Amino acid sequence: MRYLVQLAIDYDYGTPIGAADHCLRLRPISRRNQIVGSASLEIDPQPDAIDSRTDYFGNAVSFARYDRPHDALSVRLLADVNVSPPVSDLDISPNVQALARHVAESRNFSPTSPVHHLGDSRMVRRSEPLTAYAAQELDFGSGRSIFASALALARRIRSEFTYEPGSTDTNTPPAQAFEMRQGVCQDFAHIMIAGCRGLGVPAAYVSGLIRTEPPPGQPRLEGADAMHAWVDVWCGDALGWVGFDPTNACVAGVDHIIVAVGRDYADISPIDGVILASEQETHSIAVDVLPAGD
Amino acid sequence: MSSVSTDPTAVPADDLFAAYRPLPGVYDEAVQPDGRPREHWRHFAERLRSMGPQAVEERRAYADQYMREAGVSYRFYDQSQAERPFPLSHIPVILPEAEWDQVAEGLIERAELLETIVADLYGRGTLMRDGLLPASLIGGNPEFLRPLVGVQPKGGHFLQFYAADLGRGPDGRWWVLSDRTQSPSGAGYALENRVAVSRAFPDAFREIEVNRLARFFQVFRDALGALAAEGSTRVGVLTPGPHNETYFEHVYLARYLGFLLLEGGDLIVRDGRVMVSTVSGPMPVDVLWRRFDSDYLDPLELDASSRIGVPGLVQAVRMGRVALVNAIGTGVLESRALMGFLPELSKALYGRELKLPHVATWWCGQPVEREHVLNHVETLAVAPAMPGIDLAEGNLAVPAASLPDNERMAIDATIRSRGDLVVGQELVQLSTTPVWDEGRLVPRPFVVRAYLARDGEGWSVMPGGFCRVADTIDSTAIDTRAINMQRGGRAADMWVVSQAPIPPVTLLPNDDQDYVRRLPSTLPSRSAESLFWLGRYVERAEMLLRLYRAHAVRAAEINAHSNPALEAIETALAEYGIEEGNTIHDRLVETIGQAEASVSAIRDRFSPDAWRTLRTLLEALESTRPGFEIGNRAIQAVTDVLTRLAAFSGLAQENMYRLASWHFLETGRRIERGILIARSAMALRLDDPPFGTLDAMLEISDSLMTHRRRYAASLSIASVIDLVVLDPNNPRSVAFQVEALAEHVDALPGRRPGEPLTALERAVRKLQTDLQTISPSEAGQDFLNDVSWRLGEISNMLGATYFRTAAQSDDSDGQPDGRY
Repeated sequence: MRYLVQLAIDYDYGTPIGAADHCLRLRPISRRNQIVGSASLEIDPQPDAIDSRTDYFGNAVSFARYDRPHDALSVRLLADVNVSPPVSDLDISPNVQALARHVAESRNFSPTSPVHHLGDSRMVRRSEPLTAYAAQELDFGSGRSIFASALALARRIRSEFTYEPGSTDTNTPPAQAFEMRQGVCQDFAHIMIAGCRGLGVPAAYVSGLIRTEPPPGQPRLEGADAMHAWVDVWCGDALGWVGFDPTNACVAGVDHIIVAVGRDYADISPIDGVILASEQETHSIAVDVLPAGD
Repeated sequence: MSSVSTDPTAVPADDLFAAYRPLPGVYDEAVQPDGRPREHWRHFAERLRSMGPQAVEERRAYADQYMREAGVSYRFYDQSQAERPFPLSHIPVILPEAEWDQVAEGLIERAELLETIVADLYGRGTLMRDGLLPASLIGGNPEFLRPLVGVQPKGGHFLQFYAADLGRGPDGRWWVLSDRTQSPSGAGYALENRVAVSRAFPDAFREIEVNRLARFFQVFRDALGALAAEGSTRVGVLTPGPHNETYFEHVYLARYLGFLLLEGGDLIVRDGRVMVSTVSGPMPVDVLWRRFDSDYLDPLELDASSRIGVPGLVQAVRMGRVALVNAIGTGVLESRALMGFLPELSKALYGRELKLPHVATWWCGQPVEREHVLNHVETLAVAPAMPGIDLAEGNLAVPAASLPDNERMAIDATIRSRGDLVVGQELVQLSTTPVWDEGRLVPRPFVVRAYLARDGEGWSVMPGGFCRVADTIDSTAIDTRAINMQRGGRAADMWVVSQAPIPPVTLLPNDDQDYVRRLPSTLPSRSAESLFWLGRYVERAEMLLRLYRAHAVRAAEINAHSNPALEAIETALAEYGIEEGNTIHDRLVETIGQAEASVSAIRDRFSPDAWRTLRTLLEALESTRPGFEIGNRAIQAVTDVLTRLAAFSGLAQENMYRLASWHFLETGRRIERGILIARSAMALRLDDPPFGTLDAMLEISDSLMTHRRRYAASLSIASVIDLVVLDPNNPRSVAFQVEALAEHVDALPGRRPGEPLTALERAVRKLQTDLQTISPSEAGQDFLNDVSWRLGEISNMLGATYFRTAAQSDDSDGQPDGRY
């Protein structure tokens, strides 16, 4: 499936700010089942210095610096992305217990190793309630495969939590969203990650974009009008990392475009910034992910 | 109690060691099990014995007084958040040199092993691939900082300054209890303890051959200097700021080593260069000795919520433009879980056992070890496996048996569900050392932090250390909890004594405290701003007090209500917000509090005596509300505070180099005093004064005597205006302030010789001219208003020129001109 991706983020600071340092993680790269034909990131006003590189997990990161006063910041992403179906129909993943044991003994310390997504990270701390919640689906005794278990967990979250924009913010700890049984994609992803890790199953945070309008006859996906987030679960050496979308109760498939992968939101927030003398600011975001050229 | 076969009659009544008994089964540093002093302790014991309790008590008080006077303090994280005098145990821990040399050998080996490990973790990762370290152990460590993977530290080494906490077990062997690889604290306190204790026991210190500490710091200082660019000494100590528990030490070490004391806000990164914002423009920094954990160092690439870091610092490190000591990411080594793997690593990498053992450690992230800990938990300590993780008592190791049932069950559950966060550790029964406690010597358990510094030759070990001694003894559970400064432990000096004479280090008479090198000629903008505002706040507090005293004197008179001057003074006080409902006391605490906060931020450039004067004044004001509200007592109370403020100003004046720092302090004072005299003159309506206000004005401006001498005739409007506004020889007049201001502004860095005047200089000179040329009859309300407004503008211009951080500067390429 080929998409034309357009993303626009605009900040209005109200009053001019003196100096700012930004870190942007918005440009998708070719990885796994996605091929990025072209991707351009434009920033206005023109930064005084910009530096782009690849982070530890392979994400594209741009650092932009402003020395002079400016009162607005706008970021435009234009990308051409081709996504192919990620997993075969054949579920060859091990059961949860075998997977957890195997990972604990892993000697793989490359950036794609599951060991980086096993312990606590800045925003996701394991806790008894979240682990117990996940254990309802990731059951050591059942012998069910990790793929089937993770999908069941994503579905359970979708059915038992309320998708409610504005009920949480980007700093909300997963335990709090869990208590409230509501939140947005970021919260659902964090809750699923915490639960998986609590059981020794590596899980990573994926930020990305999803198709704006559904194919004919299918419902529109939640999270299509902003940046989206879902979960990568380690499904063993054969399947590797597989994306699960607890907001939409599905496997991340041809409708999901990966922008960045990290341990949690704090690792890969789309725009981080250090702004001197920031005042009241407002921001807006607009996303279009449209099928192209089929 | 073990029996000692000494004839009681042979012991003098005041023999300090007669009653000193080590605990059964516990190694004591000073005495053998039979109660006789150990060989290396004999001399000091003899000294104590000959002094007697009375003299020892006096020496103790003397050392405490030194610590108080030197301002040695430590911030406690309790409700008070207060900085308190440092709790010192006065009797040194004494070790023979030969024994310490063995420990040092083991520590050097350990430092090398840790360096090899950290270089591999951030490098090729072979230890995980070869199965020597579990990949999940490092992957889950919050201090494994991925942006640093593949980055070679400038100078080639990750560790430059390493410390280990050591304890001695019952068998007499030393054990490593934990490793400190981020920014070990305590070395500065060790220096101060040495000074205090050697002054308390000067004769003993002279007679016993005690290894000096200064050499170690020289090695470290020179090593950091060597990391800096050729011919440069641009080394900074990066502190989180005055609210940190060990801020005193950051100040002390920066001063001692001659490094700049810097906060994150002082620094910017441009094109990979770290620059410090100074009053002379941005200046490059080559080496940062960081005094806080790695993750806070760069909000752009590390913890985005950090407010104490420097955006872009990681990139500067990556480009090899700055050396961080220790390298960013070295905190990964502070993981207790790692300890469990070190013996095997030593064998695998070096083919030998570690010379210095460490406390046995089992990481519960592995099934076999987890089972072991669960099965033996009653006889073990439990502790967080990784840095930055809290367990039952923060990050401390705690004997599981000492915990209440519910906490033990919670830990049990954590071990089962998240074992990777927990280690079990063997309980260590620590040795004891004598502590002076209410007139007698008692044995107390202790640990020592040992310090290592690297230079081109390799590692040097400090011949001494920072000892922490427990305040109480619980023979059933001697554990490191008791020896935590936050929980009421004490610090002690350690003397490593030699058989051979120790050559005196002859840099200066007090070689351990004072080797001084020239202060770096760089004044960070933030420090300049603090000095400037300090000047303003102190002056403001003083004026406030003078006004209030003038008010109190008149309010106490009979028929006070019909005194028009009283009303005029009330108008002046109202400008400070002192009206109904607002008391002078609140305003004073606020103003002096602001002054104190300014001093706190620049203690590296400030006389400790001056700082203490202000601190004590503020504490007195905060703890009591002196009788400011009642008649004659109010006058007395105000006069007291004024006297103490004057003491502060005097000390600040007398103890400051006449460098940029001093000019900024004075600039603030002059501007504030000028504004306040002008504003008070306006409030008292000097051009058309109600009865009695001319007197009041002279009183407020402390010019009564001068007036009496200069103008023999009675008071007139012209004479008062002349004296308090226009007379350039009256140190309280507006004109005097502006004359002084002009001199200070000339001395500030900025204009190169031959260039046109800056806007700031022009503004000051115009004001100077206007004050010189106006006649008293023209100097009415409008003129006074104009003068105070223009002084305010000059203050703003100073701010815009010198106090902006470099990040806000338009001209970041501006060359420092180093005029002062």
